[in-house]
Amino acid sequence: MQANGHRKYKKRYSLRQKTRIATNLSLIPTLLILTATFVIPFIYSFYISLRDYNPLEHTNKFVLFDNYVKIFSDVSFLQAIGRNVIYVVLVVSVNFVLGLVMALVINTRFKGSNFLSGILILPMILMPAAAAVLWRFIYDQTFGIVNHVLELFGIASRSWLASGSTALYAVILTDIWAWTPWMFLVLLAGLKSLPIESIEAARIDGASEWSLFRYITLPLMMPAILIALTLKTIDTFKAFDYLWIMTGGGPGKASHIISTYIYKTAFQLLDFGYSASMAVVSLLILMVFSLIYMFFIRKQEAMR
Amino acid sequence: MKKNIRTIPMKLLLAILIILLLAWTLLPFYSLIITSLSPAGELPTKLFEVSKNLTFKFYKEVLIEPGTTLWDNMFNSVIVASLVTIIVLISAVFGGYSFSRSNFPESRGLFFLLLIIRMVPGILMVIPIFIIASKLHLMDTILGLVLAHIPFNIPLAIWLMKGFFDVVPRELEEAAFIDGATMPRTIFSVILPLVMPGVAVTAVFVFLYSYLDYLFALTLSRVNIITLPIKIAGFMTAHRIDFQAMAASAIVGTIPMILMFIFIRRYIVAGLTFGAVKE
Repeated sequence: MQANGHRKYKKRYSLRQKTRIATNLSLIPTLLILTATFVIPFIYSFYISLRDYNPLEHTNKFVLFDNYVKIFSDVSFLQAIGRNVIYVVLVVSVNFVLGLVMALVINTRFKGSNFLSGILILPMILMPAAAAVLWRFIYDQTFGIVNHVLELFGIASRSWLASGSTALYAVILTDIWAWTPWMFLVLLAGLKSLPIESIEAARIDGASEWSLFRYITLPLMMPAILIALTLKTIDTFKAFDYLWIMTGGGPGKASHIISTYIYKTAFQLLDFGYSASMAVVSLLILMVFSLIYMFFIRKQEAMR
Repeated sequence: MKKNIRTIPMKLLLAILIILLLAWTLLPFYSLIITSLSPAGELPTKLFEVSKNLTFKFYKEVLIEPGTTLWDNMFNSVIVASLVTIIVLISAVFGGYSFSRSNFPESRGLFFLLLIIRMVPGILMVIPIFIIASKLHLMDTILGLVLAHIPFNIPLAIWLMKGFFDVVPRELEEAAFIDGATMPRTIFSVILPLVMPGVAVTAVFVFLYSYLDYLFALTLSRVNIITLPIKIAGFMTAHRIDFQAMAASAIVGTIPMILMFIFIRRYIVAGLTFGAVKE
């Protein structure tokens, strides 16, 4: 009886079908958890963005796309987008150059290079909130080490975070300091995976260090570089912690980027409807960014 | 090869670069450490100026003296991060297994969802989560913060676990299936023991991300669940600046992270580049 049932069972499901059932069943916990914690709030945020929802003014009604229309006349938000672009371009490009220099230096494999790379990743280990308060202190007019260093070059001390013209750039420098290790690690992994033979062959043929780098190392690393830049751009675009802790968007509104401006609108002015619509717009911008990068990555792959 | 690099100008350039990189990386840490040890009113006002009365007073303040210690905050952070880690691991073990073993359309659909989560800005989610948490009375509770942290950790965790499952040969569970073992049984008693080191590494990653979070903790905590990052950021407000205690807390709060980083050293790059994959 039992043997019979077992044979029937085997007939009905092939190994492939069994695997399919098993793998799909194992997706269930993830699906349930993500539906509750992600999908519902995610869809809800679109719903809020279509409403005029402000507990402070006791409004809560459906306004369709009014919030989105309002964005185009909100100069402060458009400026925040502009600053966000500056933030991303500066952080990603300087991160990339510094990270590449670090990776090339470590990859020459001198005595102690392992130890040095351990030191270079230290900024990443400091928690972002701690790095932000530390740098707030570092920019202090009297006690800050930035001013102490500049004094050596005869530059008068100033309060870098209190001035509208320097606050944004001061925060950008902090972000660069804190996240260059990430770029360094990813690029170093890319460098280490290069085929040493082709580089050696070119070196024996008498190529200079620069042309080796320019015509062999760099092109071979291109896929790793593109991926690193894509991820870094997406993450930097979402930056919040450093700016919020160091300037709070100030002085005035001089250093707001997208996330801090939305946060202020949502949690200080309690204008949830409008802030949700700005957040949706920021997601759209991010997706356009990613599509452009994806296009370049595909093109790169097609060439190989 | 080595000889070729080591010409004198190259060596010199290398040495200069190393010094500059060290200065750039370490000067802020130098400032942090000196600050944490300086007595009140004796902070350095010049480069490499150090007070003669260095003191551990502020470490005592954040570690021992009742009322000003960080332990409550540390406790909150650790509880939240641990719960997040447990729930995310349940999802990641099953999900990672599934992604490793199947290329059926069902899992491709979910993979797309994971990429979306990887891209969505926290600021987009924090608004609906705040409103939902207020309505469900989850504000300022551990459960609320745990639920908020979960989705952002799942893509990375599943991705890491998939990598660890990929190295386990398929024949193992196919043999178990043919012998009539059920799916959970196969996963738990045949495969899971083989990927235990991977589970540990994934757990550390998830724990770290939850431990570090500032945005959600800032939004959802009021008095009961002030986590460590919120506490540390709070040392510097417009009204009150407490440099030394801030520096001492930052150092104390970072020590657990250094330990965890050493543990996951070999996997850092794999963990940081999630989303970089062509399917």
